[in-house]
Amino acid sequence: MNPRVLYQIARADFLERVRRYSFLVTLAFTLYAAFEANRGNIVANVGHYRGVYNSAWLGMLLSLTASFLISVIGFYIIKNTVERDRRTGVGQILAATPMSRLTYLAGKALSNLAVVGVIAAILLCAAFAMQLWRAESAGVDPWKLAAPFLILTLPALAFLSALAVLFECVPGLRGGFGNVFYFFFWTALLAVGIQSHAGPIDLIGIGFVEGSVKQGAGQLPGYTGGFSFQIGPHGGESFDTFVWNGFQWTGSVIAARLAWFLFAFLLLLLAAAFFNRFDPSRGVFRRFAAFRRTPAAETEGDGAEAEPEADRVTRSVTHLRPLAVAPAGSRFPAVLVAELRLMLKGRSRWWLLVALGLLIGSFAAPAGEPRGKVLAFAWFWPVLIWSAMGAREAQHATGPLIFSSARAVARQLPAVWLAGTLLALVTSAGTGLRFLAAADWVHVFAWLCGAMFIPALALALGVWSGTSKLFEGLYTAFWYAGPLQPTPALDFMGASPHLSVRVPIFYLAATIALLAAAAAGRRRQIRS
Amino acid sequence: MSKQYEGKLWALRNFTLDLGPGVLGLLGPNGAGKSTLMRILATIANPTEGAVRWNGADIGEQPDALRSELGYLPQDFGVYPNLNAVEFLEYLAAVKGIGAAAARRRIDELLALVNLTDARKRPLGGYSGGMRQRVGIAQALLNDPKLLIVDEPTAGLDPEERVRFRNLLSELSGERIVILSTHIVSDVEATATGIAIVSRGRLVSHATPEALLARLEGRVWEWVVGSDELTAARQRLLISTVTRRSDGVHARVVAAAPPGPGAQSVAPTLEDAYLNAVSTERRTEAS
Repeated sequence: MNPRVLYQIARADFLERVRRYSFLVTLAFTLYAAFEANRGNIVANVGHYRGVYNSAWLGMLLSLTASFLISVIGFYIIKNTVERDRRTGVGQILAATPMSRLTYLAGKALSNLAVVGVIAAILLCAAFAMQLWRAESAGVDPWKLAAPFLILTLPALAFLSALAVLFECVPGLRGGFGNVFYFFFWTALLAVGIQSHAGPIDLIGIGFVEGSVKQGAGQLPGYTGGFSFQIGPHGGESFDTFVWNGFQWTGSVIAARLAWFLFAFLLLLLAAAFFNRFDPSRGVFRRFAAFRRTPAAETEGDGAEAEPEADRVTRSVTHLRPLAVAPAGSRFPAVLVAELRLMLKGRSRWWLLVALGLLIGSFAAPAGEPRGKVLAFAWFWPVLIWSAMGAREAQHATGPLIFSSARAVARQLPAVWLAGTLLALVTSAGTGLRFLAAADWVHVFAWLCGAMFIPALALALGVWSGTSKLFEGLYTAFWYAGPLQPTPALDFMGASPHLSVRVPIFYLAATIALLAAAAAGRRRQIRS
Repeated sequence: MSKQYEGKLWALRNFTLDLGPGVLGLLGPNGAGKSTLMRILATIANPTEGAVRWNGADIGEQPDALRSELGYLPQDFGVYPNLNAVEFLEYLAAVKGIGAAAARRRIDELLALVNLTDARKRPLGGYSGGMRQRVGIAQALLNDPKLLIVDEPTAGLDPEERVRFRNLLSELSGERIVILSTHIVSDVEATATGIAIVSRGRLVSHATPEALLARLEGRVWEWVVGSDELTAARQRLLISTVTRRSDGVHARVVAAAPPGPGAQSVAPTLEDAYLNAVSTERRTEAS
């Protein structure tokens, strides 16, 4: 692996990313997180105690915030580095160079690390600023402030950087399924980390943090155990404070953290095995298939790029007749049908079979929690269909063809949304009809609002981000925290047995706002 | 109109052009502003100053007045890889507001026209670059456009398909406006009824091919020079082409007077006219 090549790959990729508008948005979000931490909306507490805001406590708090946010949101931000080269065509140029696959992927992982490292560095600076601002402890100890970032956060970021590259190289994980799968993988990883108490599988070090803080709080009056780390408002609860002096960095702890760098390297080796070097006909699965292919099949070739022999035969030029009927002003139903067909095209029989199973389940599920759960799953299954809404034109570069058509905003955009809404209604028809039969009007209303809200969210996020990833990540988290738990305020689909009518009203209003945002975004795309 | 991008770069400056039925060949060096002009005419970009009018309607204010009569083939475009050619064209026909029955007939004709009938049921993801380009040509003609804008349409096409496309453009141009942007002067030579030369965001020339050629009548020379003299000749003369033969280097020179002893006057070509126009504009700009 040539270090200079490695450096140049990482450098070019990093510069390309940080000069994009979206990076500014990321930085703004990071600063907002720091602001919320300073407001007391990001807290770690043991019972009714929290640590005095000294260097040790703030280093721990902000490094944990960095690890937590980056491991869930940051992953989606960095999981596009190989894809960008594929999309821009730079990959074709790189593939023709002598550079090894491992060098390329290691460079990309380094660039990922640099991007998330910037986010972590901002939060480190925020920790320093918070200590001065809150002035609860006078002496700033740079080591105690920075050590959690270096020892806990950095190895986690290295692992995530390599993991993002791996996801981009493995065919099944590259797309929407990978985005959804990662959320559940992350949830599992977090749960395992908490259980492990500084064991070797504690990625963000939360088990180690919990153990260390609890140890420091052991003798506090009234403390009966427990540790909580919370991002978001905590109901204005006030805490007593205690002085926590920081972590004990033993050799075994440091070794366990350094092991994540090794895991990251192993992930890169695995990614290199899967990486097709921008040739869709390559990759481990294809190589395996080629190995199994019979010589007779080999002679046929894949034929994908070859033009049929018949096409090569010169024919007399067919003359084009004038169009029988001039394009009409409004053909909304035709566009709606076209959008529905486009949405469902390419779905496997398995996909349809599962959707059908959920539909039957939605008819059969008994009232109460089971019906809500079936609804939640019925509206999770089409997530990859919804996620393409609004982003499809950017992803496939069909924007110029569609945006130069008449009424692209007034006709095509509503058709996309309505197609998504119809999909939601059909996939959960059983639940809706059962609500209707029971004259449960609040749930009927919530069901209708949910069916309109999901595609509106997908459309707005797709139009503004140009990628399906944002919806896939956000919706999965939203779905997990809201309808699945269920948390009534976040239950946008009416899966909770007991529901206030104010909740669907809120999501109806959100739907209108999201549709307005989507239309504004599309107008901006059309008239750049 | 004028168009300024972020960073203060003027892609088009005080650009005025009137168009009627026929094929307008749009020629210009890289970065001249041709694609920007096409994007504005295709209603997917707005001019910073001024306006574009289609039958009197300002397309900045009323883009749909043009869009329903517009066919646009951008230089870079994508397709949905899981759809086949028929499905993709059916989708775009719906988006363009064409009825289903009319669209089906039209798509059959267009696929025959661009020689894709046999490949019509194959997913577009497996198409070669040239085949994809032909799908692009087909979609641009879906709505029988009154204004057809094609940006580098023959890029990636084999010679046979290029000839077919040129013939098609000539055939189409009767009652409509076709704007053809390309670097391939022979494509323009074969089809254009008018030529606009753009350089550094300005319209350098807008004339018929005959008028452009007439301007150069008696100003193009074939001159045989020694290989060692060629470099010096290039520095002082506008040389459009060079051919090496046994008797020396045959240089085609655009100049008001014979470039040297033995220079023979020859008939001008559009390539000579184009190079002369761009070179004159550069000299004017420099002075």
